[in-house]
Amino acid sequence: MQQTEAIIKARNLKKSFGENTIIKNVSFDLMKEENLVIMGKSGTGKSVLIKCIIGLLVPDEGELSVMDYNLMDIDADQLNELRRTVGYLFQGGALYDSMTVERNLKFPLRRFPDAPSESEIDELVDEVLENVELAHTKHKMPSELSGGMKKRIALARTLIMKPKIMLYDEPTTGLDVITSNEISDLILEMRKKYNISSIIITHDISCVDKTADRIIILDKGEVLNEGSFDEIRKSNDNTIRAYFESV
Amino acid sequence: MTPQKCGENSTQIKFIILEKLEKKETIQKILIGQAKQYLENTGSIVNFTLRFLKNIFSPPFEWRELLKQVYFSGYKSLFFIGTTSFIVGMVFTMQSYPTMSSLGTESWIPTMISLSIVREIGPLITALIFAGKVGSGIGAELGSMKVTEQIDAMSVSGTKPMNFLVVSRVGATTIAVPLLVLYADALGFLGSYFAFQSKEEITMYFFFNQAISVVTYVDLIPSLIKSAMFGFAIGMVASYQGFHAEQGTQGVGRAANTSVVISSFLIFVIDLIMVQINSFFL
Ligand SMILES: Nc1ncnc2c1ncn2[C@@H]1O[C@H](COP(=O)(O)OP(=O)(O)OP(=O)(O)O)[C@@H](O)[C@H]1O
Ligand SMILES: [Mg+2]
Repeated sequence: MQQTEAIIKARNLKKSFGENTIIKNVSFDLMKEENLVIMGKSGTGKSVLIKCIIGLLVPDEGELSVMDYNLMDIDADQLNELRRTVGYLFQGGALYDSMTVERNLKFPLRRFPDAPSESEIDELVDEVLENVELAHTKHKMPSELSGGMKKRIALARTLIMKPKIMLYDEPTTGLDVITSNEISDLILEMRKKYNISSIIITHDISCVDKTADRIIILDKGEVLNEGSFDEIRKSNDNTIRAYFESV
Repeated sequence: MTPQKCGENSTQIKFIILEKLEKKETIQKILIGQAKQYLENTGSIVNFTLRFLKNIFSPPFEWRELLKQVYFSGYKSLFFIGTTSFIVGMVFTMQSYPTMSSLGTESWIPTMISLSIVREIGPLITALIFAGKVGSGIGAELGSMKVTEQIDAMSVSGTKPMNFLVVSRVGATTIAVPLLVLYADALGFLGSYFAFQSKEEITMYFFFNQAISVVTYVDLIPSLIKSAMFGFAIGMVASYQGFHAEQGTQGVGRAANTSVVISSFLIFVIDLIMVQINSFFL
C-alpha cells in the first residue's frame, strides 16, 4: 500500500463491562483503502472493538478517532454524520424482520438528509441486489431467506450507502466455500470500485488470504501480533499457529 | 410429580425460607427491596421519556409508521375490549338491580351505569386489556429487535430508532386508547341494556337516550384525557422495556411481561392522580 494516511486511529483502548475487562490495551491504525483483518479467539472482544468504532459502545480509556471525528467526545449529530459514511455488517445480519428485502435496503437511504429521489433509490436497490446476486429476493421477507442469503442482503444494505469505511463482522462465517469466496471477491471489488477502507473480522483463512493487506491478532484483550499474511503465518507462537493449522 | 419428590421440593422451599429468615430478610426488607427496585425502574423510565420528548419534535416524523401502528394496535384489541366491556356492563347491571329495585330506584340504573362506565369502568378496562394485548406485543417486538441488534442496525445507519420505533408506537397507543374507550363505553351500555331489558320493559332507544343524556363534557373530556394518558404510559413503558431487553429469548419474554406489570400498575396510579385533579376542578 502506498497510502500512509490513517483513516482510523486507535490508541490504548480499554473497555470493561462491570468487573469484566474485555479490551485491555489495543492500539492500531487503519490506513486509507487498506483491508485490515482482525483475528482472535471467540470472546476476545473483536465485536466489542468495532462497536466502539461505530459509536455503539464507548471505550473507557484511550484515544479513538475515525476520519476527523473524535469518538471519545462526540455529540449525537456528529455521530449520525459519521455513521452515514461507515458501513457495519453485523455478525448476525440484523435484518429488519418486519420489512421486505426491498424496504430493508431502502430504509436508511430514504431517511438521509439529502435523500436521493425515489427512482434513484430503486436503481441503487437493483444494483446492489445484482452485486450480491439476489435480485430475485427483492420482495421476500427476511424469514423466507436462508442464513447465507440474509448475510448477503445485510451486506447489500450496508454497501448501498456507498460507505468510505466498512466494518465486516464475520462476513463469511457459516457460508459454504463457494459463497464465502464470492463474498471475499465482493469485498475486494467494492474496495476497487469505491475506494473503501475496511476492517474485516474473520476466522476464515481463505477469506483472510484473499482480502488481508495486514492482520492483527487479538488475544485476551490485547494485540498479540501484527503483520502481513505470510509474516503472521510464519509466526512461532502456538496460539497464532493454531489458526493456520487447517491450511 | 411423585409424592416423594413433592416432599423434597417442599423441604427445599422450607430451607430457602429459613435461609432467608436467617439472613434477616424479613418481609419488610423484601418489600422495601421490591419498592426500591420499582422506583429505580420508574426513574429510568422517566429518563427514557424525557429523551423521547426531545425526539418527538425532531424530524423526520414517521407518519406512515404511526398510522400503521394505530391501525394495528386498535385492531388487535378490538374483540377483547368489546366483549369484556359488554360483559362488565351486563354484570354490573345485574348486580345492582336487586338493591336498586328494593329501594324503588331501578329507573336510575341507566344513568348510574352510564356514568360509572364513562368515568371509570370504560377507561380502566380498555387500558388494562390494551396493556396486556398491545403493551406486551410492543415489549416483545422491540425486545426481539434489540437482542437481534436490529435497533443497533438502525442507529448505525444514521437513522433514529427513537423516531421510527418509539415515537410512532407511543403516538399510536396514545391515540388508540381514547378511541377504544369510546367503543368500550358503547358496548358497556349495550351489555347493560340487555341485562336491564330482561327485567324491565324498555326500548333500546329509551335506554340509550337516558344513558347518554346524563353524560356531559365534564364527564367525557376528563375520561378521554385520562385514557390518552393510559395509552401514553402503556406505550412508553413497553418501548422502554423493549429497548432495554437483555440478551437472549428470556430477555424478550421478560420485556413483554414487565411491560404489562408496570403499565398496569401505572394505570391505577394515573387513575388515582386524575381523580384528585378532577375533583379539584369541579
Ligand atoms: N453489551 C455487553 N455487555 C456486557 N458484556 C458484553 C457486551 N458485549 C459483549 N460483552 C462481552 O464481551 C466479550 C467479548 O464479546 P465479543 O462479542 O466482542 O466477542 P468476539 O470476539 O466478537 O467473539 P466471537 O468471535 O464469538 O464473535 C464477551 O464475553 C461478551 O460476553
Ligand atoms: Mg463477534
